[in-house]
Amino acid sequence: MIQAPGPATSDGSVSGTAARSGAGLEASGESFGASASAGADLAALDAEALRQLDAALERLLELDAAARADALAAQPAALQPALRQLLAATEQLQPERTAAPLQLLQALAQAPEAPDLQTQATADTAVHQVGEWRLLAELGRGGMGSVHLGERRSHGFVQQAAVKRLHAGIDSREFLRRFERERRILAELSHPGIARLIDGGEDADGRPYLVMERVEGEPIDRYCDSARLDIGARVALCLQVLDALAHAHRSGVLHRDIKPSNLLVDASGRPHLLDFGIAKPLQGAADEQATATALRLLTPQYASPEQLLGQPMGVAADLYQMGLLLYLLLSGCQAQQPTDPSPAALQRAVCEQLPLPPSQHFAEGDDLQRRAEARSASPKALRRRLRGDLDRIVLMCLRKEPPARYADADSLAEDLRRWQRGLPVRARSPSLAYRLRRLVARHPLESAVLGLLAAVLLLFALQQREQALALAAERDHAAAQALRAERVKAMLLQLLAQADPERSGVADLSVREVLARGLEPLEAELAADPPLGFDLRLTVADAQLSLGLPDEAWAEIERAGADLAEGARSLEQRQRWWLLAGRARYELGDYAQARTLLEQAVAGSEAHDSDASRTLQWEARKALGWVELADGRIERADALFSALLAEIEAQTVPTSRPQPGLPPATPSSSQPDSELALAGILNSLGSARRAAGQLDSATGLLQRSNALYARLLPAGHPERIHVINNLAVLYRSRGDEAAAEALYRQVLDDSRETRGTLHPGTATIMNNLARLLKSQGRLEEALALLHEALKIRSERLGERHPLVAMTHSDIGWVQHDRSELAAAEQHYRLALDLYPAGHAWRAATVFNLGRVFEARGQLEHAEQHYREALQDQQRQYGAEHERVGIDHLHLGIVLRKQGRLQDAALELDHAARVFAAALPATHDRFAQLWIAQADLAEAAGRSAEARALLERALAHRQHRLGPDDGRTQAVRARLRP
Amino acid sequence: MDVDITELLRQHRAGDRTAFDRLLPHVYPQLQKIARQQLRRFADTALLQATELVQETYLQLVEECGVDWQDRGHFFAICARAMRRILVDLARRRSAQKRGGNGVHVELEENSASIEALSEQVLALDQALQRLHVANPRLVALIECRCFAGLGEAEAAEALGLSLRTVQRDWLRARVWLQAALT
Repeated sequence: MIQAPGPATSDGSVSGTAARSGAGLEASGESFGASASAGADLAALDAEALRQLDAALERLLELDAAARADALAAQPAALQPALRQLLAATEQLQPERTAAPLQLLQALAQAPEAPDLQTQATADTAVHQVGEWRLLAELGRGGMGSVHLGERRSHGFVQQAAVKRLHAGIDSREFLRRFERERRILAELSHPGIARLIDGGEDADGRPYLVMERVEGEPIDRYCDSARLDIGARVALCLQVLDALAHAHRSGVLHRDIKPSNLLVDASGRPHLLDFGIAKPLQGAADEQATATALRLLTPQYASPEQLLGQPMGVAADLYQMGLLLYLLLSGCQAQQPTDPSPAALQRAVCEQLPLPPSQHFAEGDDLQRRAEARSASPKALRRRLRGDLDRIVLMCLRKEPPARYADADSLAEDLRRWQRGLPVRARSPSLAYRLRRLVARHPLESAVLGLLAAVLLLFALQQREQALALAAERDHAAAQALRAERVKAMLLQLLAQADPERSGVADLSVREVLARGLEPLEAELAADPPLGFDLRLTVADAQLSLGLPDEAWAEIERAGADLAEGARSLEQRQRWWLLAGRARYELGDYAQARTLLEQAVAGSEAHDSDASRTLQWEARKALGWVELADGRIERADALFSALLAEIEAQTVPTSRPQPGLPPATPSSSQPDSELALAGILNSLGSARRAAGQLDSATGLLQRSNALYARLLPAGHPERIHVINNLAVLYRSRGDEAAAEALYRQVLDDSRETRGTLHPGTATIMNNLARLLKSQGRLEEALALLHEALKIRSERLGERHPLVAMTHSDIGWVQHDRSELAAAEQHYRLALDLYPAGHAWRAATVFNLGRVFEARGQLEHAEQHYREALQDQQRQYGAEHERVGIDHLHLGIVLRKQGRLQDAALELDHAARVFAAALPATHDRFAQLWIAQADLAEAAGRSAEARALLERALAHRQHRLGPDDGRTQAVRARLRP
Repeated sequence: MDVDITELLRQHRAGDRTAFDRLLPHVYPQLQKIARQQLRRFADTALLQATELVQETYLQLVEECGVDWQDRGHFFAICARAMRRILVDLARRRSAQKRGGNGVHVELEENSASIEALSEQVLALDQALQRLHVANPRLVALIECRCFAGLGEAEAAEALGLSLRTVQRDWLRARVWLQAALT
């Protein structure tokens, strides 16, 4: 049905626009506004102003209402009225309006005649004679033309037939060639199940026509339902179709458009294949190519993967369509159901998603009862009848890869006959091992996650089947178990299909979607079988954590936890639960609980001495270290990591040299396992050392970790992303900005690719890169990245996460550089509000807020904030940390501004000592310090000393940043008389 | 085909913006022809989903033009622009008919009132897009993908080579512009 146009467009203003619509597409002289009321402001703007307006609008839409008002006031006065008007429009957005084009398409299609087809349609019906054939009535219309009931008189006989005429307007030579071929091929085909070609030619207007045996009947699906054919009769009917199809294939003809509307069943119950309109000779590869580009009409529900991918089609394509037909006739449901009508969804449905076994449609689904009645049986009976062999036969037809299907129509028919006689069929389920292998080879992260999941699911599927066999006496129970096993397997297959990057360009997203849903589809089964539920939930939670879905993971962990309390689980299972629960709380920013849980995981393994238990313990201790690090307790983290490193190193004998040219081995033996553990702990300790300001030590550790990972894991693996990111942070700390940026960009691409654009880890890299850009004065780039990171983090981690607070703080920081002090203060205050009390990162925001006050000249406020930050950070990081030096530096500056020159000098000396101890001599902090000291000297009247300090700063910056950097130029400007 | 569409697509993907405009004239007639067929084909079934038409049209184009499947994203963006022209042409003709422009008297069907209203809306939208093109062509391309080709957010992102986040931001802004222009 057509949706009524929105109320806002039914007034006179729109017609006013339409009256001007005679102008060409490129006309642009008119005002933007379509009506007088809205156009008043926008109309007055020229192209440049419009561009500015759009850029300003982009920024404003990112802000919340309060910040928006401030930012609006800061815009050029000329833009303000227009901006206000646009912002007012955001309040009344109407999604329907932009749907008009698609609604128009729909309306045009539904109209009795589309407007540009009017004349031609009349011409169609005006013709009453085609060749020897008199047209009696129109029977229908198809993609290529109309079909008429025709009549011919010769030798006193009256013969009736179906006359198919090509539409006028589609008169390409392509079509004529196609008709020519159809005529020739069909003339050679003679089978009672194939509608015979009687005649063909061109009519008086030069339009081609075909005359075919007229079949009076019903489309096969409707026929089966109205006759209430049971499964056996439906299979028998399909065997007749297959007989006709096999005949055509033997004559070298493909049908390529098998679907119910092309399969009519006559009153005697015999099926007839109509319309070999897109058939083509089988032989000759050259022919294949030619036909692949030929005009062809396609019905989405009956498309085969090779059709959709534009690949050459063979007998297998017809068998695929037979599979689709069988599927429909047996289950009453379409095998290919795109989730939405977009091309991407169709591609997924046809080329990627594996259909459910037909029998499953009688477990549940739409109009279950009606479909069952049409097959003269109960849903339960139908499920039993289809399950197993018929499921396998149909799914074998529907394999995505043509060679995996039946070899020819006779083989399919033979298998159906075996089913009829109760013999075992030849169709087999696809090999899981094969799918797993392909997956692991192609997609490092997803396969790591899914490989694990798949292995567990597969194991359960097999266990269930065995149990079912063992319990054969209890028939009902056994049946239920077998059903569950099938379902678990179906879910697994579906997951694998979606994760196969060969089939899905957005593997990450679809897998994520599947995992975001978690185990919801299996809830009923899991409740019935707690041990199954427990392990499955933890496996899924693990996968969800890797994919950056901590909330979803925590939900599964909690459900598993309820089960942990009830059932007796092995120590290892408990340990695994504690570890995962701790990791989830850590990801969610709840460090206190994370610590408790992880300590339990460590303690739990102490009495136990197995390889698995030891690995779990390592992991738990490492996770504990990261909790401490995130919580600002660097020394405790360092101690944990150091102890762990010593232990793991003792276990790891260096392996033979890496073999260049060979892909890294999959970590299967225990040796690479412990090497991976070693790389992981090196990365962790390196990060802790960097946080503690021990840059040289950190560099050695991280580079070692990176080299190890490079040997063990494929590029783009999350662990490699992790360590490269940490290296970039480190280079930045050492003042090598170019190297840091290059690494960030590389790792951001990798992360987007393998973990997805919405992964919190991707947000971390964005935030880090933004800080780098900010320090180089590339503020707009930095701000854009930060807003992107903020969106990801708030969505994935929740609004109150410390990382969300940190991103707000960073946005404030960039806003400060843009001289947007109000916006900066607002974001800082938001951050302070969001940080948990006493959080380690809070002091940095306090410091930054101090800088806002300093910029506004509220010097006492500034001093107060700097002192608070200094106190906190001295406690957290120790007196020698770079951050503490920065606190001293700025405290010195603000004291100097207050005229307290002696106090200022003391603070700057402090800063100088800290920087000398903590930073390499190349770091820009030294230039910043000298400039501050120059200011102080000047304030004290020692201008020669001031000048010397500035020259020193200039030389430093020229050498390190180059003469063109804004920071270099700033110093140079001050040295000019 | 004389012109290698796949090659033009490759240039487009490599950043050659002019390739887009060179492609359009080749895609337009094909798309128009197929759209006509499809409209006719579905004329008496009343079952057509609007996006289904775009989808089928695309599938046929893949065959006819021998387009590499991996280019489908860029190809959609071009189809979207061609669809805009087709629909604007149809809408314009419809409006002209209503005003008796070409002298063919047409009995108004029951749902023709909606077609008139929709045609007017499409023309208004087209006008708004022409102006918006001055302010930001990227927004126009996005609107074409979403409104004229029925692409979802993620598909539009792929078609335009933008991040999903950018598309979401742009889409909000595009709707604001249109809202301001069309009220």
